[in-house]
Amino acid sequence: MLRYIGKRLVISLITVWVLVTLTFFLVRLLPGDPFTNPKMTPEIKANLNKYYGFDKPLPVQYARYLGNLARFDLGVSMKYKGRTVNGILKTTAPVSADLGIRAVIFAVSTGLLLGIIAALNKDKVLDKLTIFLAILGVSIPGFVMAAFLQFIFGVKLRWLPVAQWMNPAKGMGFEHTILPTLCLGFGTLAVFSRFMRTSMLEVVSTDYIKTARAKGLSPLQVTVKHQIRNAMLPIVTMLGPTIAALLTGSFVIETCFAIPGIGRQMIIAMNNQDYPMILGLTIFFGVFLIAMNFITDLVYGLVDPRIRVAK
Amino acid sequence: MQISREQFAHVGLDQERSQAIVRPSMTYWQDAWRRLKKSKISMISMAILVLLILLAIVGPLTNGYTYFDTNLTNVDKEPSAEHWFGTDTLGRDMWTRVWSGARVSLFIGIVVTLVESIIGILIGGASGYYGGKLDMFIMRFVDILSALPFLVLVILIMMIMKPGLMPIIVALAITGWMGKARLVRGQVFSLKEQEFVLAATTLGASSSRLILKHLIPNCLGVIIVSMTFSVPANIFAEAWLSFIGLGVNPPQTSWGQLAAAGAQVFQTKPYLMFIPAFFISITMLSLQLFGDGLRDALDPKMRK
Repeated sequence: MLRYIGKRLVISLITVWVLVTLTFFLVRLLPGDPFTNPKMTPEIKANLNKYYGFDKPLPVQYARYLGNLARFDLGVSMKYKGRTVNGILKTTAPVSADLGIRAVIFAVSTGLLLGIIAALNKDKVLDKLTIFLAILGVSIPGFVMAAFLQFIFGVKLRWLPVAQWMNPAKGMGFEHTILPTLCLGFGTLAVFSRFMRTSMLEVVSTDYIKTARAKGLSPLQVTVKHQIRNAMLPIVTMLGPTIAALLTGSFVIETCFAIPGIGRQMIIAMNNQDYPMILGLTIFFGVFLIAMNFITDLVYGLVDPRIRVAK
Repeated sequence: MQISREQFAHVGLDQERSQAIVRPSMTYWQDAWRRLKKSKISMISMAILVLLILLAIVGPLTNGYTYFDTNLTNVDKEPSAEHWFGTDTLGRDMWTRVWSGARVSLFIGIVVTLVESIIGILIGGASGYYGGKLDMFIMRFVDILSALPFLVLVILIMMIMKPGLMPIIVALAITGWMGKARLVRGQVFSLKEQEFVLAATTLGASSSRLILKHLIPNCLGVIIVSMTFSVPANIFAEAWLSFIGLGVNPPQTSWGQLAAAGAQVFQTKPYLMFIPAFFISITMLSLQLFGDGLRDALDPKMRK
């Protein structure tokens, strides 16, 4: 097992390197360049190119970038003058992660519970109710959902603040997290509830459930110990990328609620061809995703002892 | 009336005939179709889906308007006998726009979902079945492709290909199959350790037969659920691409775009948002219910 983990760590490093290399050269293929201000004289442009090292040949730039990356230095943002990519990540990532963790906990726990309830009441009213919830979750885009909730709870009922993230220093507390968490988590909730329902139904007609029943286990024990545990597999698979996606921020939700998170940064960086930011964010997201998928492969063995990814 | 022994003839036991199969044998798919037909909800949702596709084909031709002709003397009209779904802020007929948008949205939703599912199932199935080095290689490739910025990929694909529906479909399919591959791989990991696979292997089934005939059909439940979610996800992905100028170009439209445009004015003209949103939802609802029925019909364990 330890050997497998060691091997995976080495391979993960190689994966990150390939990702960095690909992104580094792909962003340079994009049309346009970072300095497109028409007021800019050629001298200023040349100076800027020199400052960011763009006057050197591409392989030299690449080698230098890798050298800096080895020291965990992601360079300087071009859009936010004078701010380092590391600095921007340090201020925005924790906010997105905070929101993301809340959304994951809310969405996954509620989603699984609903899925289990639906499966145990197959084709009854409760089951159909979860279908409608799923449809609401998937067919309402995030920005519409955000606008509706802001309008109802923020403007009409005045129960919750319309926007902004919690900031204890300014006296903005937990109530600021409720609407963004609901909005961010709702789609995931819908997906997880449907997957859990289907997965539970796949398991219910297997032989080991029959055996468990025949042994005289109580229905509760059969459901909890055998059915739910075996139904968790597709959930575990999806959990990794879902956590990675929710914790690294959402452009739509962060824009709608004016949350200073990381989700908006990628779009801003893309619009400005901010190469260091695009690369930095890609590496940040990539490392997160690779780590989550690594953990998923290890967890498979816990959920279903027959599975041995590590060989 | 007296029945005598002579009136009966002794037939005896005919080995051949008692072993003969009288009822016609059914393939897996025939049986699945037979069971699907028994489920009323599935049949109704299938009918609704077919109706939506038919309306998308004939809808834009029915009332003499086009999706691009503007009429500035007749803007923001509520639904009426003349304009069944009203008109938008440029005086374009919404009925025609909704159904020509349906063409784009349903086409993208269905085609992209099919393509990404087939790629994901085959690659995920092979990766899970063979495991080891091949699995490691494929999964790291999946990691890299999922971590690459979506927009960078999309813009590069748009640069290479001619503008239109094709680059959107390619971009969404290339970025969409990884989730399904991981899902199928995880299921196959668990399934391949089960007894029926051992039985099939012992009987000499080849690897490709095992994957295609035994492992993938047993993953169909989660695959169908994931497909029913992919269709709306792709419809909205197209709308999002259009929003940043990379999707279908105005005056051509799609459900996602219509809903997004309607959402801007939903407090004053709610019907502009609710009509496209209603059709997206009804597509979703039918897909979910049909998916449930299909899952039950395809599950060999539920056979009676």
